[in-house]
Amino acid sequence: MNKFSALFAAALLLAGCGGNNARLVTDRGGNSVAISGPVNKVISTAPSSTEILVDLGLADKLTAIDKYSLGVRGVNQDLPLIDFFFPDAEVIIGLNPDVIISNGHNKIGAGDDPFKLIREAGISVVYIPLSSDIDGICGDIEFIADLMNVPDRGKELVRSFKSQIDEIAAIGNTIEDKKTAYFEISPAPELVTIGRNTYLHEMMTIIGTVNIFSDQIGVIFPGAESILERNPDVIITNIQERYNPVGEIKNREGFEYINAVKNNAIYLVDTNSAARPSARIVLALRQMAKAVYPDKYEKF
Amino acid sequence: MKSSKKILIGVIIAAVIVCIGASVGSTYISIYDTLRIIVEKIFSIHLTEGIEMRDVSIVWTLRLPRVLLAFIIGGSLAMGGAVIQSVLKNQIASPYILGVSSGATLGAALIMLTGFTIPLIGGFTLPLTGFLFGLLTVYIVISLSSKLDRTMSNNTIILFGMVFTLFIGALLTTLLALFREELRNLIYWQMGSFALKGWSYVRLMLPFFVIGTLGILRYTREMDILTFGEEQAKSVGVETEKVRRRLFVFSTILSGAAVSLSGVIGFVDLIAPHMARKIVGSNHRYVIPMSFILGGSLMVVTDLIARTIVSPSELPVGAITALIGAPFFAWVYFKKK
Repeated sequence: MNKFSALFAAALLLAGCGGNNARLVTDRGGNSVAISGPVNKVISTAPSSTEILVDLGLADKLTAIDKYSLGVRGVNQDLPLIDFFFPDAEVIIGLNPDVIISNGHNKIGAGDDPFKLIREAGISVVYIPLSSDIDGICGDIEFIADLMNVPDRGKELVRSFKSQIDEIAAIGNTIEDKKTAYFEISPAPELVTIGRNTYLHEMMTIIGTVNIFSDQIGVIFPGAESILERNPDVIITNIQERYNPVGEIKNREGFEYINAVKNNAIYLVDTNSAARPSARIVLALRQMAKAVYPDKYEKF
Repeated sequence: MKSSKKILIGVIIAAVIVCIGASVGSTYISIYDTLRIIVEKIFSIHLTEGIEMRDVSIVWTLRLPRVLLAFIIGGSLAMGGAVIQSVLKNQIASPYILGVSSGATLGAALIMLTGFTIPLIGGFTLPLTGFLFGLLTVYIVISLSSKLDRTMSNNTIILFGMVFTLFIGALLTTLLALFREELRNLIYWQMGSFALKGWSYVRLMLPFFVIGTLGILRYTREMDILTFGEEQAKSVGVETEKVRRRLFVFSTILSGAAVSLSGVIGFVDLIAPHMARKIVGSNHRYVIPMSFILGGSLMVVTDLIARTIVSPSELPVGAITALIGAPFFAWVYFKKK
């Protein structure tokens, strides 16, 4: 892919197509991608990238989005929607975007690059794998800002994002008797949580809790027994409200002896802000902090 | 050794396996403590002095119902398999091949996707729909094959079963494509799992298990006679068509309900009856209970592996049965050759 992109870029330069404006960028997956001319039409394939674009003040550059991006505050509701599990190459090429921002999840299940045909049609596709920590999210923001030729806005967004996190971390660091916590991403019967090397784990650490699965790495599927054994003081979840996650966890058979359930310490945080690696995770971070240590984070 | 004695030994071994299943997991709780917890809960005698409440909860609320459910479901699938193998006189036949599993899967998927519940029976909606769809599939398979082939030869039935299974598979794929939001849940459910299935699932399964088992046990003699061939059976007065039909229904009750509660779990219905016949011979009075014991034990052991091998994570049990089942089946088959 790298070779192809480089050759493609060279061909572009030699042919004079795009003229002096063509430039090579290294995307978040490490691929070199040629971008010709200013970027005015962008297709975003994931709500996290859409959020970053909107936060950079670039909502008007969006040409098409995935259906989950439709819910992002500030997005034009009339934009064409594209199914990125099975992207329709004809529709995408027809929209003639300057760049497509593809994401980690676009590669799931496809087994191959779903944008191969689109690249071959001469459209630039940059790739952003799922970031595993907050620094990674900052990198994504700066990358998109650079790509869109607004590096200063990117730096400003990162600065304000980091300063909000630092404010919370400053309190989190002072907490001595840290509560143990379990973060549930998917409801019973298939429980899903996270270990180290995830931004959610980092968020749990920042607010001053200890993840009960910090001996594990990445996304894990814990058995109910192992949660009982590790007996968390609090349970945080971002499962959609329509599933009544707090009630379901509270009444889950066998969970009645878990400290968090006994003490009614099960907290629901905003589904999207916790699930999408963009600057908007700060909302979930505040909700988590206030829920777990209400007296410490009074002012938030 | 007499077959009845072998069954008694089987029961004892199964009881030990159940105890091990209830005491092993990501948390270590000794078999002695496990037994104390179970006895206290059943007989309301205070025995759990010095045992943490957490361990009591793990054994009684999480592990024991899970182990029992695994046993009943494994046993039910195995009995269903034994009946179908005997009725079709084909050792590689199973409810799965006749389309019961795929039919039940489709029914259960519809219930899961629509969230539909039949008033009054509530949680029973899922196994009941599974059973009805499984039954419908078997009915279609049998009536179509009897139209094509009046003698209803076993090969015709099996072939139709497989074709129909593929057809239902296509329906399910279409359904999954239409409800992509639920894709992950449905795929996971299809892999088969006993995770977080407590006493309520055991209670849901029990009526289907009792009706199916009693129904099958009534016809053990007829199954023996049927193995000698249709003509022979008719000549001694067995109403072969009626008996066959009923046996199909009872085995479908067992397999259909099992599939809709636990997801698709293959191979147990194929392997356990095989092993049972090796141990107790061909008399169905022994083959059926032995299949139950072996199928149940096998299921408990594979579930134990599924929930401990990558602890604290869990694997779907269907993956483990297939991993163990396929090579085992090949071994049994080639050994026989």
